[in-house]
Amino acid sequence: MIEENKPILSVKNLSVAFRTGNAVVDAVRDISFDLYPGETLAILGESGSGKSVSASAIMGILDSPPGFLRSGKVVLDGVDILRQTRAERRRLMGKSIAMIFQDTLAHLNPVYSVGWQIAESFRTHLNLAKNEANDRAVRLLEQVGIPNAVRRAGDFPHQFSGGQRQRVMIAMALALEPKILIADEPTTALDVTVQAKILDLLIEMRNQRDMGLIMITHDLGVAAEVADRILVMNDGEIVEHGVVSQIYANPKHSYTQKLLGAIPGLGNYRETQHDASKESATPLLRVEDLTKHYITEKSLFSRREREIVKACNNVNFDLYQGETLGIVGESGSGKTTVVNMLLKLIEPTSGSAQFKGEDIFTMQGQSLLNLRRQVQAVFQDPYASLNPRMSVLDIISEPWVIHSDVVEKRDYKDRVVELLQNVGMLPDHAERYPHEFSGGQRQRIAIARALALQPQIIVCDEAVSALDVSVQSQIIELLAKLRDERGLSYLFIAHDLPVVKELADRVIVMKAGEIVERGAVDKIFEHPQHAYTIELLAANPIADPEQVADRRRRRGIKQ
Amino acid sequence: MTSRLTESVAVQPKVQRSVGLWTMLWNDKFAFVSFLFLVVMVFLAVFGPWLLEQPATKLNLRLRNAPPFSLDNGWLYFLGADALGRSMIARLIVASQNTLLVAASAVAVSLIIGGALGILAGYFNGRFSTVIMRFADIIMSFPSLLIAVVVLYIFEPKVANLVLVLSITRLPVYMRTARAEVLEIRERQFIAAAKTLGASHSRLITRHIAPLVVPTLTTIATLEFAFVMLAESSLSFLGIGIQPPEITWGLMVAQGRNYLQSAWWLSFFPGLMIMFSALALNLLSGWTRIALDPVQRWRLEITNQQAS
Repeated sequence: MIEENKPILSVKNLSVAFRTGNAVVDAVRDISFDLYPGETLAILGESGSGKSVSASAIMGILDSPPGFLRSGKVVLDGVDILRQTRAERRRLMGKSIAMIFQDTLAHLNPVYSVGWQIAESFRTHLNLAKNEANDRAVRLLEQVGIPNAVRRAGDFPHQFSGGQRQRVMIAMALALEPKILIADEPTTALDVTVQAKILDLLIEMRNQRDMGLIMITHDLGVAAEVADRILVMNDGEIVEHGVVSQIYANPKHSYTQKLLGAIPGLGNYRETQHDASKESATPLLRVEDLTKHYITEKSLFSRREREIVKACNNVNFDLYQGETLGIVGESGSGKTTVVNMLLKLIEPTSGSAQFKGEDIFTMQGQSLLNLRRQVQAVFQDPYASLNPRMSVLDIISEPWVIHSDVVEKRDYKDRVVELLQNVGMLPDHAERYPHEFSGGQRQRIAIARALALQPQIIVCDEAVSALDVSVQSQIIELLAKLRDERGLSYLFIAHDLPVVKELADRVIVMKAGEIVERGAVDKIFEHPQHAYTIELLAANPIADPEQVADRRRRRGIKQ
Repeated sequence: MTSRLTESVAVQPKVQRSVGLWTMLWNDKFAFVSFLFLVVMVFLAVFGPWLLEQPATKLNLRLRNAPPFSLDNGWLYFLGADALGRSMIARLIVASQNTLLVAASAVAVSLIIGGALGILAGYFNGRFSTVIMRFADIIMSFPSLLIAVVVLYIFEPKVANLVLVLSITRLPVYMRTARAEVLEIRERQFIAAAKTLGASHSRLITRHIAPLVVPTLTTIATLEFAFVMLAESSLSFLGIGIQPPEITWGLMVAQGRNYLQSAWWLSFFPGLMIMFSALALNLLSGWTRIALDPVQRWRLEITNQQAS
């Protein structure tokens, strides 16, 4: 941090509000901060805290209407850019301030090659000739670490992986050497190992160019990893502001304390670790050599032969009564394929899975219905897993309509209220519809539905991945409580190791369709054997600035 | 531990519940007026012919092509008279019965059959789907009027045949839309969730898929309503639709065509009726779509005063 310099950007008393149907809602209330050259300022907050809205307001890309600026100034080079005309601002964008986004596929134009898109800023802002613009674009792609940049410049966004697309977007943002880069959740959609590399790249670029970097994130680990100073936002206001080491070591505001307390993986392992394999000989669920292969269609224009994609290869595991098995892997590891086969949503290529000794893949009719009753699922996205046109009462009572012998129709209401209370909701929520609830509340409704039939196994497919950290910890706590009360077994799928730490008894680590490591949860965390598990653990951003500096040195990043 | 389990409730501004359909209708003034218009039209279609059969067929050669907006000849001739001196008002009202009957039944038949086939084709996306969609392609590749002409030439041109022909030629619109919607909806997570609960095919289709497709289909149906009215009038014009002395608005437009230079009102008023009916249906269907959607409903639950 170079305090003696003058700030390159100062935001003063910025307030943004949104008009909704019958009210005006304040999204950002009176926030002020400065950004100095060469430093990283993290704006940390959960969904709805107003962090992205502030960035949009600074960039002039606020959705308006319904959003509008109430008051405030954003001073860049002595000029209040909020008072500028659109034409004046256009000259500024890209040259002085640039922005990168979370959803790279949505923010890159699918019909132009990435080289063309990067070269576009050279052509429009600098009036460079086509060839020179293209050369510069290729050089930028090299700088952000795209291999074979010359050849890849002609490729289209969908031909890149998520991490590479983020690199392309960074290249595009850096094209005109901006003084300020705003990164809005740039790594949220990426796997942890990829995330670590992108964060390193951002820091490297910042150091090279002496840029000011504003990092908007909900992830305390990411903030600790990259930031010099942190603003903590809650409900449209800055609740705490300080140097990174001080915020983490000594949080003053209760909200910051709550956030830090909710970080997954800080707690202890499950107290009485379940070792059911010794108690009962027969597992509840036994999966043997489960395999799913996809055969790609032969393309019309390429000479490539048909390829076999091994989504999941020879997966074996047992799940015992009362036990929680964590399956961890990054995208493409095949963990969701395993789940979908066990839930009979897709057919396996080969292998078997037995529920209490009975093969689930050959089940039909009554025995299948019985399986459906004993094995329930909670899915990743609580916005998508509840039918928007059904009330909560209808959603939770649907299992009883399908399995008509469980609950009498006249008791539906009472039992739904009971279930809602079990998952920490209120009785009058039964009359409402899913869109009226927050993500965490919806996930509670989904859990209540999964409990309705009193199953033995609940499959949680990334059940907490889409939730804010503080909500995440609440849901994990709820799941743990329900498991202990009801003797449930969980198959808990996650893309990230820390979330399974407190919940799981045993963990399976998957990569590219294969199980690479398995073991008791404490063994996996304390003594990982496989190189990939070690990488996963190392890549996970730690919300502790002291350790971060040390790790960054080890990865060879200059401070 | 328990304190953290009870999350804060009511994230959204709490909308006043239990607002009835009537209040929601009143809150959307355009939909309200449309609703009144349609109620009046239905009333006239049901009772009009019984009340006004006489004046609608009575010739009065002194009043041939009498101009509108004059009360000299009594209120029945306020909108003028046609080429044979028959009261326009009486004829418009009597014609509403046939027009609405043909259009409503044709639209209903194609909505139900086309929607059902489309939903099934989308849900069982396989050979069955291919067969159904090729069937739709075949219907679409013929000019619809040509099919109608051929069919009505061979069979007797009566109301039932007319409805049948009009509905078959419009089937593909519903089939394709329904199928496309279902293809998207069936990949959503709540369908997977329902499957893991053990929901049967019929439950998935009726409880989870159809409620999300129907609003789109009804919106199309209201647009089709006007189209079918006009198609019926073209057929009547060609002499293979409704046969005089029976009348429809479409037929009145067609008959007035010869006098467009001298007596514009012969075509204008029945055309206006077609337009108003289609417009009213459209506005009302827009309202129904919102009123039946739990996510959108709040728009109608707040009154105008609150909004401003």
